[in-house]
Amino acid sequence: MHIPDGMISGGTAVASGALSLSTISASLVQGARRLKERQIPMIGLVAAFFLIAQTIHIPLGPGVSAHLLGGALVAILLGPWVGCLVIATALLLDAGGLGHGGVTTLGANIALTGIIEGIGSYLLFRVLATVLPRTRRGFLATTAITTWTTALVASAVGSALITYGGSLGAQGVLPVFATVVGLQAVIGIAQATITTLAVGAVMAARPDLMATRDLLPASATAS
Amino acid sequence: MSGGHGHVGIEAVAAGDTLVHRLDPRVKIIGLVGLTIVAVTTPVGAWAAFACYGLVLGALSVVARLPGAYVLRRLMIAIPFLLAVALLPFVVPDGVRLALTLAVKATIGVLAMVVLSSTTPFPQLLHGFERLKAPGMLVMIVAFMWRYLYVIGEEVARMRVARQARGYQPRWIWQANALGQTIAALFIRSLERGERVYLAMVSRGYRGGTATALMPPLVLRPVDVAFAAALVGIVIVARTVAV
Amino acid sequence: MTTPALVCDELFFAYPDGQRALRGLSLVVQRGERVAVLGPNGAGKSTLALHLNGILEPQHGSVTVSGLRVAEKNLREIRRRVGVVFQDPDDMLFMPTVQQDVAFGPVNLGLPEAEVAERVVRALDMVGMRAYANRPPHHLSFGQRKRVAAAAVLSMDPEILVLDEPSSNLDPRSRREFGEILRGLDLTMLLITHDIPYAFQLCDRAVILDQGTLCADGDIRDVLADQALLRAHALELPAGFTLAALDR
Repeated sequence: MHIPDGMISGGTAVASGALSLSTISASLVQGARRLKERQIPMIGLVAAFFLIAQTIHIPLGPGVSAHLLGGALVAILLGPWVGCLVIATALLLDAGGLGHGGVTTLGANIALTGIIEGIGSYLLFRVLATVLPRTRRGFLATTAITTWTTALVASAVGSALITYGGSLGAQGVLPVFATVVGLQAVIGIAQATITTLAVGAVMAARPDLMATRDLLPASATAS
Repeated sequence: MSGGHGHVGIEAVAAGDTLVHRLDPRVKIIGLVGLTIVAVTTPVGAWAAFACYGLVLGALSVVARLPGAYVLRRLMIAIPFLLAVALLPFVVPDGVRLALTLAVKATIGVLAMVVLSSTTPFPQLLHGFERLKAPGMLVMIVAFMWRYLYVIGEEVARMRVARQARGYQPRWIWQANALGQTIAALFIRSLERGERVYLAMVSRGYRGGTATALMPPLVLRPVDVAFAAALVGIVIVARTVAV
Repeated sequence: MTTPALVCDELFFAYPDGQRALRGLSLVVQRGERVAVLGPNGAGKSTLALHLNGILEPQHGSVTVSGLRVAEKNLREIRRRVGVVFQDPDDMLFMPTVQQDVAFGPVNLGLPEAEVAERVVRALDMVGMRAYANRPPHHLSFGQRKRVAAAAVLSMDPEILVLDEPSSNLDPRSRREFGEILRGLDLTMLLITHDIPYAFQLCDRAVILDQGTLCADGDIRDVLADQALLRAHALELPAGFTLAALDR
């Protein structure tokens, strides 16, 4: 979900901006502590990949659009901190450098895609993985459910931001939620499918690259 | 580069040499982002104020000799949003005024960034952010991202050609599977290249910290200050009058 | 007796996954020599290159560059002395403009701004790319990127130039132009390549690397004339190529 300029109030923008800023700082710090500089080019490159992957999108509802690939993919493959950094920098370049606008809503969009879909996916994934079977199918199912759920939660929060926290006001809550979240529930299926297929392909080719590889089945071909 | 981004257009235009192009990037960044913030916080229905902001951006575009078709093309990116916004009147009371205001605000947001990115070559833009004290690591990541956007774009184009050459028939299920494979391949390649780039950096003596860019230092000139003052003045007046 | 430019002494190296890449490789290269490093895929050629500037550390053995041993404390100077041009120029050109890429090395060496600028101009002149200084790399053709990648290494004023597959993916004209540039450089050179005619044009000496060790070392004419030797290491002269026909 991607909110354009003008749809959230100043207060919301500032609050979400502060939240995103502190999360990015934490990511940078965590990144620096754990990963070291050798990851910097990689982060830039994956961010470029993410931007290009994001160009596949559909307009979703009142002033928002959905990307077929969300933050879940990056977080499940690279972990919460790197994932969040990748998403945040990609959104930053998208708004300013590529001139797609949404500069004032950057904080909100980073919160939605980077924090909820990104970090949130990683956390949810880990939790679900303890419950679902430790097989290839189980891993993929966890991916699918995580992707769909976090995207839905993001759309709900986004709806809240543009209504309670924004231009559409509290009176718009019901119709906005119904439209946005409803549409997201459907589109989320496509998102979950693509993400799962992609993760599956990475799992088959280079499981060693995945941050969640400790949750992979012992034999990658076991079903 | 795939047409989806229109990068080729941006760069040619950003390489121009007008008054606006020559302005200090820091002034442009703060000015245009500031304008967007003010526009966004302007109350619903303050048409005079919005017209004013639009005029400012229009004037800048004209002075910068931005081609009309080019600007329109980039504004079209906002079209999906605007079409969705058109649904608002049915959804919210006082919807029409609100819908129009939102459409205007979103457009101003895009237009401001179009002007910024069209009058400032990207390395200059990065330099401006660096001088505005953006965290070094972040600037580096963005620099790499921009640089390799094209490289990945070329890879995507090559993959598309390769798929077509293998007689790939697009039908939904297969399309999804192929898409998943392509995404996975691009992701893996990005990681691997990231590693190789790091080795190349180390080979040329990189030992950590920010990779400094060899760019002429930024010095504020009178025209930069004048521009900033004029912009602030106009915007404040417009905003106050709107209330 | 002058100090050799490069001494590799019984290098042994295995990757973390156990793959043994170098098994007792010894090589001495004198100043000004141009050595072609030939061998089948997986022989360890690229691994060797990464040892020469200290990116990889051998489990046994040592590398010495102009008398300076490759060790943690010397890496800065080693990386100045040994310039490695990797196979894919897009891996080497990671800055927003050509100028910044070529300046990257000298800046890391801690040189003052004026000198960095001077070196950038000089290096770009060496490869004939001065006019492109302010362009982003993606505006350049592949051949042009190769040249700029070389300039990015040359700006550090190295003593030894190591090139990994310099002619790969180059169209014939770019290949020739790049070869002329290389020929005009006054440096010790190691050319890792599959392009045997290219090696023959540019190098006096050839070594064959197979299974992590040197299997041949001598005048390039002698090495390339030995068909049995070449065949034994999965090498062969391209169809129609004869040593006598080439005028060096």
